[in-house]
Amino acid sequence: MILDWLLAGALIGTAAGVLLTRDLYRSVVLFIIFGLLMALVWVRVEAPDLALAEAAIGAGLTGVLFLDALGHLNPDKAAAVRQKYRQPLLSGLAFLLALGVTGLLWMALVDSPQPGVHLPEIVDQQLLASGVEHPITAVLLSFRAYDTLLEVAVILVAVVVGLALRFSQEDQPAETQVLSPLLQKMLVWLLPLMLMVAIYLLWIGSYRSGGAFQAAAVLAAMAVLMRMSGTPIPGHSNLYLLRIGLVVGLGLFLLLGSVDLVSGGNFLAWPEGWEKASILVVEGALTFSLGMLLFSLFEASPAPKQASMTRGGGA
Amino acid sequence: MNTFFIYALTGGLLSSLGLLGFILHRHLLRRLMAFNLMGSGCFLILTGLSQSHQGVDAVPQALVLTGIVVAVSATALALVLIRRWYHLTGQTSLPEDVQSLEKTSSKEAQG
Amino acid sequence: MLIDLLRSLLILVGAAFFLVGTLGLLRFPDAPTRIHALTKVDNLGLGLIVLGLLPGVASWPVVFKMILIWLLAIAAASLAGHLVVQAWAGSQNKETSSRDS
Repeated sequence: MILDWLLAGALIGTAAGVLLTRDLYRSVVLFIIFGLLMALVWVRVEAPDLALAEAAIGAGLTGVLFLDALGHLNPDKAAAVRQKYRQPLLSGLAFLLALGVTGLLWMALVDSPQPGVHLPEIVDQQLLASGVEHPITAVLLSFRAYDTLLEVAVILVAVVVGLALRFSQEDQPAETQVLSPLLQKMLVWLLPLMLMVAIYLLWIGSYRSGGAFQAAAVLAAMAVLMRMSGTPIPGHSNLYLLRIGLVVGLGLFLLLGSVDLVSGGNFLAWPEGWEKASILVVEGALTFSLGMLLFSLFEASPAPKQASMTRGGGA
Repeated sequence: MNTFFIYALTGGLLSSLGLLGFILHRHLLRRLMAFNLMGSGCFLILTGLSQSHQGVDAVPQALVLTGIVVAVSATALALVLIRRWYHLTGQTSLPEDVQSLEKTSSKEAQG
Repeated sequence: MLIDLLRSLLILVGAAFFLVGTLGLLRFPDAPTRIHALTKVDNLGLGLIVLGLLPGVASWPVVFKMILIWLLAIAAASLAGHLVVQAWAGSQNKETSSRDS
């Protein structure tokens, strides 16, 4: 209990630090620490799946994205000076609003009614029918497969928009830097290990914590690492392969989801007797696709290097 | 009060803290971070509150798992847009905000 | 009984190492010394904690995984430390050369 209060306090303190720190770089670093603390919190909330995802995505990938973006936005002196002007009226209103929201949320949380249905029980009862033994995987890919399907679609849309913005700029290949011989030697060991961890996470997802999302995050981290260290990624320059890789998860999901529909059943109900096989196939495709999607989100960000120079005249 | 409920309350505080930062900050990167804090707060409320009633529950956990992945893709997209905006205008904040700031600052200078 | 005592001692000492490492991170003046505190002291602390936890573990795969985690942490820490110091040295060189010119 004391540990929980301490952790909650550290979480709030780090969040306040993210918002209050003047130095933007420090703020981003605090934000990454916040992500790591969130991973610890998920362990305490007894959600190891979320802890895995948060550590890989929330702290790892988001941190890399923010640091990368920060490196490309030169410290804008003009904006920094403007920032100093305060608007007492607006600030006061914002404080009142935040205080009100806090109060309302607090009241709502304390007085929240007992829910009418007992979800964990229902999940337990139906778990056998889903074909997998891990309740979270069952919820994601069987009971609420619709959510997962739409989620993949949403990410695909985000990636398409990101890539469209990137391709409309005059593009140049990111400079491949050979950083250090030690890194190169280490990657020979690390990359296969990461691949193994990703496959392991995917496999145990059917009966323990883990699954497509966590595996995809590890896969994406692997690709980002390869990209940043200048290791060639097989098939990377082939645009068609990339596009096929991006949609294969969603495509297979839709295809297998419609099999039962064709034979007169429901959309996204896996064919009877083949539940586990279908879920595993879809999860495998999703892992690959989501890994590529997350990596593409990282890749979509590099802007041309001249950006800072061309804008020098305007500012 | 159990462990889960502590984190639900923490999530509530985080959400309003993020909201405050989202309103007050001008820099787009900071706004994005504040927005992410709000999101984390929502995730905590979602899991913490339902589990404080019913014990460990796979449904909100699975929903939050999707939420985390969607949040990171939304963040990445926002970062692409912010960088595009910076590339085009050299600004790291939106013109509406800057205008309103300049107005008030000129008023202050007159007064 | 004796084993339990030994285990808690190992874990406590490991935690103490973490505390000292964090103190070093906060108090040391520049990047190389801070990395020194982080990589050396914290990895020793982690090793002690893993060692303290091992006797309580039921199955061999878990033992293997925990040792693997420790080795990975050591490798990652040394690699990250190496890269950070390299970047730091690069920025240091740039500063001195710009100061000289």
